[in-house]
Amino acid sequence: MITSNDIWVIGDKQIKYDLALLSKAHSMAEVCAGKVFAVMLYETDPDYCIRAGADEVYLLQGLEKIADDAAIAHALASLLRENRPGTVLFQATVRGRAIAPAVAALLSTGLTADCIDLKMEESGLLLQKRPALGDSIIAEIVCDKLRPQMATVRPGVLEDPTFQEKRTGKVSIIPIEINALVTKTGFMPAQSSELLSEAKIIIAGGVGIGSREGFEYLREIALQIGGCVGASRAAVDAGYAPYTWQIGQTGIAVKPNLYIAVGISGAVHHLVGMNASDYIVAINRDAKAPILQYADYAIVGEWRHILEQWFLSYQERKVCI
Amino acid sequence: MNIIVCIKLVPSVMNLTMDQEYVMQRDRVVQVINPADEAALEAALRLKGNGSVTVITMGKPSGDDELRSLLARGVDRAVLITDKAFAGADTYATARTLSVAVNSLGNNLEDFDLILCGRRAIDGETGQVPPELAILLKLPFVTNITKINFNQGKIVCSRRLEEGIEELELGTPAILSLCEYSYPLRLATILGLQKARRMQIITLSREMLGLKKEECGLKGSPTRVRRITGQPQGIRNVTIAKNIDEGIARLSELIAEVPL
Ligand SMILES: Cc1cc2nc3c(=O)[nH]c(=O)nc-3n(C[C@H](O)[C@H](O)[C@H](O)COP(=O)(O)OP(=O)(O)OC[C@H]3O[C@@H](n4cnc5c(N)ncnc54)[C@H](O)[C@@H]3O)c2cc1C
Ligand SMILES: Nc1ncnc2c1ncn2[C@@H]1O[C@H](COP(=O)(O)O)[C@@H](O)[C@H]1O
Repeated sequence: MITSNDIWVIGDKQIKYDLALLSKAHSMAEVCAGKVFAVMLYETDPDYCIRAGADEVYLLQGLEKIADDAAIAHALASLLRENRPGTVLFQATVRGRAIAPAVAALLSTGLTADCIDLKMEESGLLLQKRPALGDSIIAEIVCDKLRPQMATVRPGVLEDPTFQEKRTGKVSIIPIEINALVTKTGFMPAQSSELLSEAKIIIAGGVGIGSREGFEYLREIALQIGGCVGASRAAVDAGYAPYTWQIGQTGIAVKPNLYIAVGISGAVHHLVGMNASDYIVAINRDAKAPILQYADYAIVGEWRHILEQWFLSYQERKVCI
Repeated sequence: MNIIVCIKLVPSVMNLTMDQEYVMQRDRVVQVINPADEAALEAALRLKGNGSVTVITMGKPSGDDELRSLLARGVDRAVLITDKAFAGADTYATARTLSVAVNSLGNNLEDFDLILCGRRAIDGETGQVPPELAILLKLPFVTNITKINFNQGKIVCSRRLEEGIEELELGTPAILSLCEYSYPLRLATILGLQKARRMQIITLSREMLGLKKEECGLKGSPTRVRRITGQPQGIRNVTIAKNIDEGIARLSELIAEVPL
């Protein structure tokens, strides 16, 4: 059996991103005359997948509690060997970025990590765009000799899914038997205030905050406005904030509606983790700090003074309402 | 416990140049140990007990100094896999070369209890090598680890996911990839430095590993960089508040605009 131009999307627990990837796959499949398959690793309503763009949905059963990525990869690889799609897409989540390379190695094919854009050519060749060298460049990568061509896609970079109410598709339930060598013995959910990657507002502090106590203050403000606190690496290194708050190349990447950078200079290593934010405000006492160029709005001055003043007016406003 | 640590030497500056084939020109930049690999190494040094720690790195021939600085920290053996033919390797070609090297080090895999890697390298930032290596060596693996312990011969580890921390258990041998800063790397001692100066660094070439040219480097890589574009660095049209009062008012407006 020869390889088709079909596109497989491996859905990994975050329905919002999975549906966006399915819609993207649908528009790409139209270009290369392929079909879209949603392969869901968790229990979900297949109707959504179909309306978002899937022609067929495979609901894999028995994986919910499985923490062995290699075993999941083996199961996926055998499905892929049977069906031979031209393209396989994963979410660039921690799990996706573990399972996908294992699948790629099992199929002896190429994989592009953490893509921020995909484009399908008529021939079925996938152009995969990913940032490299700290986002200073964008590399366009192809896997031109082998199939399937595989990519993980950074969650949140794609447009929201478009739903077509009248679409129909086939649904199959596929039970998977797994002999797991890795077992899960516990799980500690992150506190919601720690879910930086999901936050709509982030107030991030740098070395300019000057102390752990300063970060406590930022946290208080974040709680008031329903946001999360982030930090630069230099602030983490200084012991002002825990590593889980670190944003940037060696921390996490975020994309909130509003990012408030306080006492952060704007090193490229930090910028790559936050410059996809919708709106960026910089608070810095140095009007020449690089971060200002990357911000939409800037307030120049002592951060503590600015935020204390603002906090007063903010509370007043709430009292008025 | 016998442990292999995969270390990548990465450029310390970000303004690298590339040649026409988009292979990184690593000749003129200072190399440092990839931050996450430092954590893997420290974890290995703590876990080894009466066993040994072997460091392997695939890279340019001048990695000698960096490897010696690792030997000085208590590493028992350092292996440099270097050959012109390895240049331009993508993650799959890298994993393949590393897997062959690992197999050539011991008589068989049972000689090693653990292979530790970094969760990702700061230059390529893929994190794909550890799972690919695991598959090629037919070993179980866990990525993104922040803590490793042993309990009754089993590995007990914590893995950081977006939604929280997972506690996992698995047997040996296995491949684990560690998060940067999870184990801050110890300093070299003077005694260690003296010892390291006398130690031999094992160098392996393509021929010694019995790899064909088509299996490594750019030629052995399924993926290819077709084009590189300078990223518009995200420069925005900043408005600077005329004074702090104006800034404060605008900040409140902006916060109010964000949907809950
Ligand atoms: C391989 C590598 C990976 C890295 N990864 C990351 C990463 O993931 N994330 C990251 O953030 N960094 C990372 N870095 C570090 C990065 O290069 C910078 O060193 C770091 O981001 C600087 O942090 P900062 O802006 O808090 O500190 P600084 O550069 O010291 O800036 C402090 C700023 O605070 C301002 N300031 C000081 N006092 C006040 C005050 N009272 N009121 C208002 N403003 C004030 C100053 O004007 C200055 O602009 C990495 C570096 C390397 C080499
Ligand atoms: N050339 C290499 N030599 C040795 N180890 C490597 C090499 N490339 C990657 N690794 C290992 O794989 C990890 C992830 O790298 P990467 O997949 O390139 O992000 C690194 O932290 C290293 O532990």
